[in-house]
Amino acid sequence: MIKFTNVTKMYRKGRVHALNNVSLFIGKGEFVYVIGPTGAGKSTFIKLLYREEKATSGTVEVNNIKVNKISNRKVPFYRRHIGVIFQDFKLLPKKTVYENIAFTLEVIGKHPSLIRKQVLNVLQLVGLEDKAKAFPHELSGGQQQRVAIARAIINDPAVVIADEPTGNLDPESSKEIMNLLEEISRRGTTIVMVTHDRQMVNTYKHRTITIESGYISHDTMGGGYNDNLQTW
Amino acid sequence: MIISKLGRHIKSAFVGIFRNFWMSFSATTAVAVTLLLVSLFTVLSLNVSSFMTSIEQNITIRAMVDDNYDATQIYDEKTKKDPLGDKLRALSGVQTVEFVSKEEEFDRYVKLTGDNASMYERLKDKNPMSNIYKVTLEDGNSDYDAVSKAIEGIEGIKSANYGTGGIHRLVDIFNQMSSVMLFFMATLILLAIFLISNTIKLTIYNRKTEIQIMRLVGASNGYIRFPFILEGIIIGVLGAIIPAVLTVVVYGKILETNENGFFISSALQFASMSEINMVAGLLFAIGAIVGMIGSLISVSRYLKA
Repeated sequence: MIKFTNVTKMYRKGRVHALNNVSLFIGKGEFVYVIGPTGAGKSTFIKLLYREEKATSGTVEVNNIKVNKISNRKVPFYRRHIGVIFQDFKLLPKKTVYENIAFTLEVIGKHPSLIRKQVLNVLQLVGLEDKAKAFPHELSGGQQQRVAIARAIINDPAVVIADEPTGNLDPESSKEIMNLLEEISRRGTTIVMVTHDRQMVNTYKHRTITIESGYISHDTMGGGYNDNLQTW
Repeated sequence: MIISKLGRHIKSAFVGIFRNFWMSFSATTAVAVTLLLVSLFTVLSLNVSSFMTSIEQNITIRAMVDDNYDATQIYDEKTKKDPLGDKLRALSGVQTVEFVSKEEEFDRYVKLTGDNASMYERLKDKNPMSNIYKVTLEDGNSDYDAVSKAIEGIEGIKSANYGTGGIHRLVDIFNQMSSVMLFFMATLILLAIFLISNTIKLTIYNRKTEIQIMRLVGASNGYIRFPFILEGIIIGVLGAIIPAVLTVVVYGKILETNENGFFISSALQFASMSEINMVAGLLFAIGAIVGMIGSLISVSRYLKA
Protein backbone atom coordinates (compact mmCIF):
# COMPACT_ATOMS: atom_id res chain seq x y z
CA MET A 1 0.00 0.00 0.00
CA ILE A 2 2.69 2.47 1.08
CA LYS A 3 6.25 1.52 0.16
CA PHE A 4 9.43 3.51 0.73
CA THR A 5 12.54 2.17 -0.96
CA ASN A 6 15.85 3.76 0.01
CA VAL A 7 14.26 7.17 0.29
CA THR A 8 16.53 10.12 0.95
CA LYS A 9 15.33 13.69 1.16
CA MET A 10 17.76 16.57 1.27
CA TYR A 11 16.96 20.24 1.59
CA ARG A 12 19.02 23.25 0.58
CA LYS A 13 21.08 21.45 -2.05
CA GLY A 14 22.15 18.60 0.17
CA ARG A 15 23.20 20.57 3.21
CA VAL A 16 20.27 19.33 5.30
CA HIS A 17 19.42 15.61 5.34
CA ALA A 18 15.83 15.26 6.46
CA LEU A 19 15.50 11.58 5.67
CA ASN A 20 18.35 9.11 5.15
CA ASN A 21 17.89 5.98 3.09
CA VAL A 22 14.53 5.07 4.61
CA SER A 23 12.76 1.88 3.55
CA LEU A 24 9.46 0.63 4.93
CA PHE A 25 6.19 -0.99 4.05
CA ILE A 26 2.72 -0.17 5.35
CA GLY A 27 -0.06 -2.55 4.35
CA LYS A 28 -3.59 -1.78 3.30
CA GLY A 29 -5.86 -0.85 6.18
CA GLU A 30 -3.01 -0.47 8.69
CA PHE A 31 -3.10 2.22 11.37
CA VAL A 32 0.40 3.57 11.92
CA TYR A 33 1.79 6.19 14.29
CA VAL A 34 4.85 8.14 13.28
CA ILE A 35 6.63 9.59 16.30
CA GLY A 36 9.94 11.23 16.99
CA PRO A 37 11.50 14.47 18.21
CA THR A 38 10.87 17.77 16.50
CA GLY A 39 12.98 18.14 13.38
CA ALA A 40 13.64 14.40 13.08
CA GLY A 41 12.00 14.10 9.70
CA LYS A 42 8.37 13.22 10.55
CA SER A 43 6.96 16.12 8.58
CA THR A 44 9.17 15.35 5.61
CA PHE A 45 7.99 11.76 5.78
CA ILE A 46 4.33 12.65 5.38
CA LYS A 47 5.01 15.51 2.93
CA LEU A 48 6.56 12.91 0.66
CA LEU A 49 3.36 10.90 0.99
CA TYR A 50 1.03 13.64 -0.20
CA ARG A 51 3.62 14.91 -2.67
CA GLU A 52 4.17 18.29 -1.08
CA GLU A 53 7.84 17.38 -1.39
CA LYS A 54 9.70 15.13 -3.80
CA ALA A 55 12.22 12.53 -2.69
CA THR A 56 15.81 13.40 -3.62
CA SER A 57 16.50 9.72 -4.28
CA GLY A 58 14.70 6.40 -3.82
CA THR A 59 11.06 5.67 -4.58
CA VAL A 60 7.87 6.44 -2.70
CA GLU A 61 4.93 4.30 -3.76
CA VAL A 62 1.34 4.80 -2.68
CA ASN A 63 -1.29 2.46 -4.07
CA ASN A 64 1.24 1.34 -6.71
CA ILE A 65 1.68 4.93 -7.88
CA LYS A 66 5.28 6.15 -7.89
CA VAL A 67 4.63 9.42 -6.05
CA ASN A 68 7.98 11.05 -6.74
CA LYS A 69 7.39 10.57 -10.48
CA ILE A 70 4.21 12.66 -10.48
CA SER A 71 4.63 15.96 -12.34
CA ASN A 72 3.60 19.19 -10.60
CA ARG A 73 0.65 19.54 -12.93
CA LYS A 74 -0.69 16.09 -12.01
CA VAL A 75 -0.31 16.48 -8.24
CA PRO A 76 -3.94 17.64 -7.79
CA PHE A 77 -5.21 14.46 -9.46
CA TYR A 78 -3.06 12.30 -7.19
CA ARG A 79 -4.32 14.12 -4.11
CA ARG A 80 -7.87 13.07 -4.94
CA HIS A 81 -6.88 9.56 -3.86
CA ILE A 82 -5.57 10.53 -0.45
CA GLY A 83 -7.01 12.45 2.48
CA VAL A 84 -4.95 14.84 4.59
CA ILE A 85 -5.73 16.16 8.08
CA PHE A 86 -3.75 18.88 9.84
CA GLN A 87 -3.23 20.11 13.37
CA ASP A 88 -4.67 23.50 12.39
CA PHE A 89 -7.63 21.95 10.49
CA LYS A 90 -7.09 24.13 7.37
CA LEU A 91 -10.77 24.78 6.78
CA LEU A 92 -11.87 27.63 4.52
CA PRO A 93 -13.01 30.24 7.06
CA LYS A 94 -15.49 31.88 4.70
CA LYS A 95 -17.27 28.70 3.74
CA THR A 96 -19.81 26.84 5.84
CA VAL A 97 -19.21 23.31 7.07
CA TYR A 98 -21.30 21.98 4.21
CA GLU A 99 -19.48 24.11 1.62
CA ASN A 100 -16.07 23.14 2.99
CA ILE A 101 -16.80 19.48 2.47
CA ALA A 102 -18.76 19.86 -0.76
CA PHE A 103 -15.87 21.85 -2.21
CA THR A 104 -13.73 18.71 -2.47
CA LEU A 105 -16.35 17.13 -4.70
CA GLU A 106 -17.11 20.27 -6.71
CA VAL A 107 -13.45 20.48 -7.58
CA ILE A 108 -13.57 17.10 -9.30
CA GLY A 109 -16.78 18.01 -11.11
CA LYS A 110 -19.35 15.81 -9.36
CA HIS A 111 -23.01 16.41 -9.97
CA PRO A 112 -24.64 18.69 -7.36
CA SER A 113 -27.33 16.19 -6.36
CA LEU A 114 -24.67 13.54 -5.79
CA ILE A 115 -22.58 16.00 -3.80
CA ARG A 116 -25.48 16.75 -1.50
CA LYS A 117 -26.09 13.10 -0.76
CA GLN A 118 -22.43 12.34 -0.11
CA VAL A 119 -21.84 15.37 2.09
CA LEU A 120 -24.85 14.63 4.26
CA ASN A 121 -23.68 11.02 4.60
CA VAL A 122 -20.21 11.94 5.70
CA LEU A 123 -21.52 14.61 8.08
CA GLN A 124 -23.61 11.94 9.70
CA LEU A 125 -20.55 9.69 9.99
CA VAL A 126 -18.61 12.39 11.89
CA GLY A 127 -21.70 13.33 13.88
CA LEU A 128 -22.11 16.90 12.68
CA GLU A 129 -25.26 16.71 10.59
CA ASP A 130 -26.80 19.54 12.62
CA LYS A 131 -23.80 21.85 11.99
CA ALA A 132 -23.94 21.86 8.18
CA LYS A 133 -24.74 25.56 7.97
CA ALA A 134 -22.28 26.72 10.65
CA PHE A 135 -19.04 28.51 9.82
CA PRO A 136 -15.76 27.05 11.16
CA HIS A 137 -15.30 29.80 13.75
CA GLU A 138 -18.64 28.87 15.29
CA LEU A 139 -17.39 25.37 16.10
CA SER A 140 -15.12 23.95 18.81
CA GLY A 141 -11.68 22.68 17.86
CA GLY A 142 -12.83 19.08 18.05
CA GLN A 143 -15.78 19.82 15.81
CA GLN A 144 -13.58 21.63 13.30
CA GLN A 145 -11.24 18.67 13.19
CA ARG A 146 -14.20 16.40 12.55
CA VAL A 147 -15.16 18.60 9.60
CA ALA A 148 -11.59 18.29 8.33
CA ILE A 149 -11.81 14.51 8.68
CA ALA A 150 -15.12 14.50 6.82
CA ARG A 151 -13.47 16.48 4.04
CA ALA A 152 -10.51 14.10 3.97
CA ILE A 153 -12.57 10.94 3.64
CA ILE A 154 -15.38 12.07 1.37
CA ASN A 155 -13.57 10.83 -1.74
CA ASP A 156 -13.16 7.44 -0.08
CA PRO A 157 -9.37 7.65 -0.18
CA ALA A 158 -7.12 4.61 0.20
CA VAL A 159 -4.85 6.50 2.58
CA VAL A 160 -5.53 9.15 5.21
CA ILE A 161 -2.55 11.16 6.41
CA ALA A 162 -2.96 12.95 9.72
CA ASP A 163 -0.40 15.48 10.89
CA GLU A 164 -0.83 15.79 14.67
CA PRO A 165 -4.61 15.80 14.39
CA THR A 166 -5.07 16.07 18.16
CA GLY A 167 -2.25 18.54 18.74
CA ASN A 168 -4.58 21.47 19.35
CA LEU A 169 -7.35 19.62 21.14
CA ASP A 170 -8.32 18.92 24.74
CA PRO A 171 -8.21 15.26 25.90
CA GLU A 172 -11.96 14.79 25.52
CA SER A 173 -12.00 15.99 21.90
CA SER A 174 -8.82 14.06 21.18
CA LYS A 175 -10.57 10.87 22.22
CA GLU A 176 -13.45 11.61 19.87
CA ILE A 177 -11.03 12.18 17.01
CA MET A 178 -9.15 8.97 17.76
CA ASN A 179 -12.38 6.96 17.89
CA LEU A 180 -13.35 8.45 14.55
CA LEU A 181 -9.99 7.63 12.97
CA GLU A 182 -10.16 4.05 14.27
CA GLU A 183 -13.66 3.75 12.82
CA ILE A 184 -12.32 4.90 9.45
CA SER A 185 -9.43 2.47 9.75
CA ARG A 186 -11.83 -0.40 10.36
CA ARG A 187 -13.47 0.38 7.02
CA GLY A 188 -10.21 -0.53 5.30
CA THR A 189 -8.54 2.86 4.97
CA THR A 190 -4.81 3.07 5.70
CA ILE A 191 -4.04 5.71 8.31
CA VAL A 192 -0.65 7.33 8.88
CA MET A 193 -0.72 9.61 11.90
CA VAL A 194 2.09 11.81 13.11
CA THR A 195 1.79 12.58 16.79
CA HIS A 196 3.53 13.83 19.91
CA ASP A 197 0.81 12.61 22.19
CA ARG A 198 2.39 9.90 24.33
CA GLN A 199 -0.81 9.02 26.13
CA MET A 200 -2.69 8.60 22.87
CA VAL A 201 -0.09 6.18 21.52
CA ASN A 202 -0.20 4.15 24.72
CA THR A 203 -3.99 4.07 24.94
CA TYR A 204 -4.88 3.33 21.34
CA LYS A 205 -2.24 0.79 20.48
CA HIS A 206 -1.06 0.55 16.91
CA ARG A 207 2.12 -0.02 14.96
CA THR A 208 4.52 2.78 15.87
CA ILE A 209 7.36 4.02 13.69
CA THR A 210 9.95 6.19 15.40
CA ILE A 211 12.01 8.55 13.28
CA GLU A 212 15.16 10.06 14.73
CA SER A 213 17.66 12.24 12.85
CA GLY A 214 16.32 11.09 9.52
CA TYR A 215 16.43 7.36 10.28
CA ILE A 216 13.80 4.91 11.42
CA SER A 217 15.07 4.01 14.88
CA HIS A 218 12.18 1.77 15.96
CA ASP A 219 9.29 0.06 14.30
CA THR A 220 7.16 -1.75 16.82
CA MET A 221 3.99 -3.66 16.05
CA GLY A 222 1.21 -2.50 18.34
CA GLY A 223 3.81 -1.36 20.79
CA GLY A 224 2.99 2.11 21.87
CA TYR A 225 5.66 4.35 23.37
CA ASN A 226 8.58 2.34 24.67
CA ASP A 227 9.64 4.40 27.61
CA ASN A 228 13.04 2.74 27.86
CA LEU A 229 13.94 4.03 24.45
CA GLN A 230 12.58 7.51 24.74
CA THR A 231 15.19 9.99 25.68
CA TRP A 232 13.30 12.94 24.27
CA MET B 1 -21.47 19.10 -16.11
CA ILE B 2 -19.45 21.74 -17.92
CA ILE B 3 -22.29 24.22 -17.50
CA SER B 4 -22.64 23.54 -13.80
CA LYS B 5 -18.84 23.94 -13.49
CA LEU B 6 -18.87 27.27 -15.32
CA GLY B 7 -21.79 28.39 -13.18
CA ARG B 8 -19.80 27.51 -10.07
CA HIS B 9 -16.80 29.46 -11.32
CA ILE B 10 -18.83 32.57 -12.05
CA LYS B 11 -20.58 32.29 -8.73
CA SER B 12 -17.27 31.77 -6.96
CA ALA B 13 -15.78 34.83 -8.69
CA PHE B 14 -18.62 37.06 -7.54
CA VAL B 15 -18.59 35.56 -4.05
CA GLY B 16 -14.83 36.19 -3.99
CA ILE B 17 -15.27 39.82 -4.92
CA PHE B 18 -18.04 40.30 -2.41
CA ARG B 19 -16.33 38.54 0.50
CA ASN B 20 -13.13 40.53 -0.13
CA PHE B 21 -15.13 43.68 -0.65
CA TRP B 22 -12.58 46.27 0.46
CA MET B 23 -9.74 44.74 -1.48
CA SER B 24 -11.89 44.51 -4.59
CA PHE B 25 -13.09 48.04 -4.00
CA SER B 26 -9.57 49.45 -3.82
CA ALA B 27 -8.52 47.49 -6.91
CA THR B 28 -11.54 48.80 -8.79
CA THR B 29 -10.76 52.35 -7.68
CA ALA B 30 -7.16 52.02 -8.84
CA VAL B 31 -8.40 50.82 -12.21
CA ALA B 32 -10.94 53.64 -12.41
CA VAL B 33 -8.43 56.38 -11.63
CA THR B 34 -5.81 55.15 -14.09
CA LEU B 35 -8.35 54.55 -16.82
CA LEU B 36 -9.72 58.04 -16.27
CA LEU B 37 -6.24 59.43 -16.90
CA VAL B 38 -5.81 57.17 -19.91
CA SER B 39 -9.13 58.44 -21.20
CA LEU B 40 -8.16 62.08 -20.61
CA PHE B 41 -4.95 61.72 -22.57
CA THR B 42 -6.56 59.72 -25.34
CA VAL B 43 -9.30 62.29 -25.79
CA LEU B 44 -6.80 65.15 -25.72
CA SER B 45 -4.55 63.52 -28.25
CA LEU B 46 -7.50 62.66 -30.49
CA ASN B 47 -8.51 66.32 -30.42
CA VAL B 48 -5.00 67.54 -31.10
CA SER B 49 -4.79 65.34 -34.15
CA SER B 50 -8.25 66.43 -35.20
CA PHE B 51 -7.24 70.09 -34.84
CA MET B 52 -4.15 69.37 -36.83
CA THR B 53 -6.16 67.86 -39.64
CA SER B 54 -8.46 70.84 -39.76
CA ILE B 55 -5.53 73.25 -39.81
CA GLU B 56 -3.81 71.28 -42.49
CA GLN B 57 -6.92 71.25 -44.56
CA ASN B 58 -6.75 75.04 -44.60
CA ILE B 59 -3.09 75.25 -45.47
CA THR B 60 -2.30 75.75 -49.14
CA ILE B 61 1.04 75.98 -50.82
CA ARG B 62 1.26 78.99 -53.13
CA ALA B 63 3.46 78.23 -56.11
CA MET B 64 4.41 81.41 -58.02
CA VAL B 65 4.88 81.08 -61.74
CA ASP B 66 7.98 82.64 -63.26
CA ASP B 67 6.89 85.84 -65.10
CA ASN B 68 9.10 85.03 -68.06
CA TYR B 69 7.78 81.49 -68.38
CA ASP B 70 6.15 80.39 -71.61
CA ALA B 71 2.54 81.60 -71.35
CA THR B 72 1.24 78.70 -73.42
CA GLN B 73 2.36 76.27 -70.71
CA ILE B 74 0.15 77.72 -68.02
CA TYR B 75 -3.59 77.40 -67.53
CA ASP B 76 -5.71 78.59 -70.41
CA GLU B 77 -9.31 79.40 -69.60
CA LYS B 78 -10.61 78.74 -73.10
CA THR B 79 -8.89 75.50 -73.97
CA LYS B 80 -8.72 74.28 -70.35
CA LYS B 81 -5.20 73.15 -71.15
CA ASP B 82 -2.82 73.32 -68.21
CA PRO B 83 0.55 71.59 -68.82
CA LEU B 84 2.30 73.20 -65.82
CA GLY B 85 -0.64 72.50 -63.50
CA ASP B 86 -0.62 68.87 -64.60
CA LYS B 87 3.03 68.60 -63.62
CA LEU B 88 2.08 69.83 -60.14
CA ARG B 89 -0.81 67.39 -59.94
CA ALA B 90 1.56 64.55 -60.76
CA LEU B 91 3.62 65.19 -57.60
CA SER B 92 3.09 62.67 -54.85
CA GLY B 93 1.05 63.86 -51.89
CA VAL B 94 -0.72 66.56 -53.83
CA GLN B 95 -4.49 66.57 -53.69
CA THR B 96 -5.76 69.65 -55.54
CA VAL B 97 -4.16 72.26 -57.76
CA GLU B 98 -5.97 75.50 -58.55
CA PHE B 99 -4.79 78.24 -60.90
CA VAL B 100 -5.15 81.90 -59.90
CA SER B 101 -4.24 84.53 -62.52
CA LYS B 102 -2.14 87.58 -61.64
CA GLU B 103 -5.18 89.79 -62.23
CA GLU B 104 -7.22 87.84 -59.71
CA GLU B 105 -4.35 88.05 -57.29
CA PHE B 106 -4.12 91.80 -57.76
CA ASP B 107 -7.86 92.23 -57.16
CA ARG B 108 -7.67 90.14 -54.00
CA TYR B 109 -4.76 92.20 -52.74
CA VAL B 110 -6.50 95.47 -53.51
CA LYS B 111 -9.59 94.30 -51.67
CA LEU B 112 -7.46 93.48 -48.64
CA THR B 113 -6.13 97.04 -48.48
CA GLY B 114 -9.69 98.40 -48.34
CA ASP B 115 -9.80 102.21 -48.32
CA ASN B 116 -6.78 102.80 -50.47
CA ALA B 117 -8.21 100.67 -53.25
CA SER B 118 -8.50 103.60 -55.66
CA MET B 119 -4.83 104.31 -55.26
CA TYR B 120 -3.93 100.92 -56.53
CA GLU B 121 -6.29 101.05 -59.48
CA ARG B 122 -3.71 103.18 -61.28
CA LEU B 123 -1.12 100.50 -60.83
CA LYS B 124 -3.18 97.90 -62.59
CA ASP B 125 -1.26 98.20 -65.83
CA LYS B 126 2.00 97.57 -64.05
CA ASN B 127 0.60 94.64 -62.08
CA PRO B 128 3.44 93.48 -59.77
CA MET B 129 1.72 90.18 -58.98
CA SER B 130 2.53 86.78 -60.47
CA ASN B 131 0.28 84.00 -61.67
CA ILE B 132 0.05 81.38 -58.95
CA TYR B 133 -1.06 77.80 -58.36
CA LYS B 134 -2.71 76.97 -55.05
CA VAL B 135 -1.75 73.46 -54.02
CA THR B 136 -3.37 71.44 -51.20
CA LEU B 137 -2.02 68.18 -49.84
CA GLU B 138 -3.71 64.85 -49.29
CA ASP B 139 -5.18 64.13 -45.83
CA GLY B 140 -2.58 62.95 -43.40
CA ASN B 141 0.31 64.42 -45.36
CA SER B 142 1.86 67.22 -43.37
CA ASP B 143 5.24 67.37 -45.04
CA TYR B 144 4.76 70.82 -46.57
CA ASP B 145 8.48 71.47 -46.73
CA ALA B 146 9.22 68.49 -48.94
CA VAL B 147 6.32 69.18 -51.31
CA SER B 148 7.24 72.88 -51.55
CA LYS B 149 10.81 71.95 -52.47
CA ALA B 150 9.57 69.51 -55.08
CA ILE B 151 7.35 72.23 -56.54
CA GLU B 152 10.22 74.69 -56.67
CA GLY B 153 12.18 72.09 -58.61
CA ILE B 154 9.69 72.24 -61.47
CA GLU B 155 10.67 74.44 -64.39
CA GLY B 156 8.57 77.59 -64.58
CA ILE B 157 7.99 77.92 -60.85
CA LYS B 158 9.72 80.88 -59.27
CA SER B 159 9.06 79.99 -55.67
CA ALA B 160 6.67 78.04 -53.47
CA ASN B 161 5.70 78.81 -49.90
CA TYR B 162 2.91 78.07 -47.49
CA GLY B 163 1.35 80.22 -44.82
CA THR B 164 3.36 82.33 -42.49
CA GLY B 165 5.93 81.38 -39.90
CA GLY B 166 3.10 81.18 -37.40
CA ILE B 167 1.37 78.27 -39.07
CA HIS B 168 4.70 76.63 -39.53
CA ARG B 169 5.28 76.67 -35.83
CA LEU B 170 1.73 75.62 -34.95
CA VAL B 171 2.05 72.48 -37.05
CA ASP B 172 5.36 71.72 -35.40
CA ILE B 173 3.93 72.20 -31.93
CA PHE B 174 0.95 69.99 -32.63
CA ASN B 175 3.18 67.31 -34.05
CA GLN B 176 5.32 67.36 -30.94
CA MET B 177 2.29 67.43 -28.67
CA SER B 178 0.88 64.25 -30.11
CA SER B 179 4.10 62.33 -29.69
CA VAL B 180 4.41 63.51 -26.10
CA MET B 181 0.84 62.43 -25.44
CA LEU B 182 1.44 59.05 -27.00
CA PHE B 183 4.33 58.61 -24.62
CA PHE B 184 2.18 59.63 -21.64
CA MET B 185 -0.54 57.22 -22.66
CA ALA B 186 1.83 54.28 -22.99
CA THR B 187 3.27 55.10 -19.57
CA LEU B 188 -0.19 55.33 -18.04
CA ILE B 189 -1.30 51.99 -19.45
CA LEU B 190 1.83 50.35 -18.04
CA LEU B 191 1.12 52.03 -14.73
CA ALA B 192 -2.44 50.70 -14.86
CA ILE B 193 -1.21 47.15 -15.43
CA PHE B 194 1.22 47.51 -12.55
CA LEU B 195 -1.38 48.97 -10.19
CA ILE B 196 -4.05 46.44 -11.01
CA SER B 197 -1.81 43.39 -10.89
CA ASN B 198 -0.38 44.64 -7.64
CA THR B 199 -3.77 45.12 -6.05
CA ILE B 200 -4.98 41.77 -7.29
CA LYS B 201 -1.77 40.27 -5.97
CA LEU B 202 -2.79 41.65 -2.58
CA THR B 203 -6.28 40.16 -2.78
CA ILE B 204 -4.75 36.84 -3.76
CA TYR B 205 -2.13 37.05 -1.04
CA ASN B 206 -4.95 37.37 1.46
CA ARG B 207 -6.33 34.13 0.08
CA LYS B 208 -3.09 32.17 0.07
CA THR B 209 -4.49 29.58 2.45
CA GLU B 210 -7.55 29.25 0.28
CA ILE B 211 -5.35 28.35 -2.67
CA GLN B 212 -3.28 25.98 -0.53
CA ILE B 213 -6.41 24.18 0.62
CA MET B 214 -7.74 24.03 -2.91
CA ARG B 215 -4.52 22.34 -3.99
CA LEU B 216 -4.73 20.02 -1.02
CA VAL B 217 -8.19 18.70 -1.85
CA GLY B 218 -7.16 18.08 -5.44
CA ALA B 219 -8.25 21.17 -7.36
CA SER B 220 -6.32 21.39 -10.63
CA ASN B 221 -4.37 24.56 -11.37
CA GLY B 222 -6.82 25.55 -14.09
CA TYR B 223 -9.71 25.14 -11.68
CA ILE B 224 -8.01 27.33 -9.07
CA ARG B 225 -6.96 29.95 -11.59
CA PHE B 226 -10.27 30.39 -13.34
CA PRO B 227 -12.31 32.23 -10.69
CA PHE B 228 -9.35 34.52 -9.95
CA ILE B 229 -9.05 35.41 -13.61
CA LEU B 230 -12.79 36.01 -13.82
CA GLU B 231 -12.47 38.19 -10.75
CA GLY B 232 -9.68 40.18 -12.37
CA ILE B 233 -11.74 40.71 -15.50
CA ILE B 234 -14.80 41.72 -13.49
CA ILE B 235 -12.74 44.17 -11.41
CA GLY B 236 -11.20 45.63 -14.58
CA VAL B 237 -14.56 46.04 -16.29
CA LEU B 238 -16.18 47.50 -13.16
CA GLY B 239 -13.29 49.94 -12.91
CA ALA B 240 -13.86 51.02 -16.52
CA ILE B 241 -17.54 51.91 -16.04
CA ILE B 242 -17.10 55.28 -14.34
CA PRO B 243 -14.30 56.60 -16.61
CA ALA B 244 -16.16 55.41 -19.72
CA VAL B 245 -19.44 57.01 -18.71
CA LEU B 246 -17.69 60.20 -17.63
CA THR B 247 -15.79 60.38 -20.90
CA VAL B 248 -18.89 60.04 -23.06
CA VAL B 249 -21.13 62.32 -20.99
CA VAL B 250 -18.60 65.10 -20.34
CA TYR B 251 -17.34 65.09 -23.90
CA GLY B 252 -20.90 65.19 -25.22
CA LYS B 253 -21.55 68.28 -23.07
CA ILE B 254 -18.39 69.97 -24.35
CA LEU B 255 -19.33 69.33 -27.96
CA GLU B 256 -22.83 70.62 -27.32
CA THR B 257 -21.59 73.78 -25.64
CA ASN B 258 -19.07 74.45 -28.37
CA GLU B 259 -21.57 74.08 -31.17
CA ASN B 260 -21.71 77.86 -31.53
CA GLY B 261 -17.98 78.37 -31.19
CA PHE B 262 -18.09 78.85 -27.44
CA PHE B 263 -14.52 77.72 -26.69
CA ILE B 264 -12.71 77.59 -29.97
CA SER B 265 -13.63 78.85 -33.41
CA SER B 266 -15.52 76.40 -35.56
CA ALA B 267 -12.61 76.38 -37.99
CA LEU B 268 -11.01 73.83 -35.67
CA GLN B 269 -12.72 70.51 -35.69
CA PHE B 270 -13.21 68.53 -32.48
CA ALA B 271 -12.80 64.75 -32.42
CA SER B 272 -16.19 63.29 -33.26
CA MET B 273 -18.52 61.59 -30.78
CA SER B 274 -18.11 58.24 -32.53
CA GLU B 275 -14.38 58.39 -31.92
CA ILE B 276 -15.06 59.11 -28.25
CA ASN B 277 -17.45 56.16 -28.03
CA MET B 278 -14.61 54.04 -29.33
CA VAL B 279 -12.38 55.40 -26.57
CA ALA B 280 -15.02 54.31 -24.05
CA GLY B 281 -15.04 50.83 -25.56
CA LEU B 282 -11.27 50.83 -25.45
CA LEU B 283 -11.36 51.59 -21.73
CA PHE B 284 -13.46 48.48 -21.10
CA ALA B 285 -11.11 46.39 -23.21
CA ILE B 286 -8.03 47.73 -21.39
CA GLY B 287 -9.70 47.16 -18.02
CA ALA B 288 -10.61 43.57 -18.84
CA ILE B 289 -7.25 42.66 -20.36
CA VAL B 290 -5.23 44.34 -17.64
CA GLY B 291 -7.36 42.70 -14.93
CA MET B 292 -6.89 39.33 -16.55
CA ILE B 293 -3.14 39.72 -16.95
CA GLY B 294 -2.85 41.06 -13.41
CA SER B 295 -4.57 38.11 -11.77
CA LEU B 296 -2.88 35.60 -14.04
CA ILE B 297 0.53 36.88 -12.98
CA SER B 298 -0.45 36.98 -9.35
CA VAL B 299 -2.17 33.62 -8.99
CA SER B 300 0.50 31.72 -10.89
CA ARG B 301 2.96 32.52 -8.13
CA TYR B 302 1.00 30.29 -5.78
CA LEU B 303 0.56 27.40 -8.17
CA LYS B 304 4.18 26.48 -8.77
CA ALA B 305 4.72 23.84 -6.11
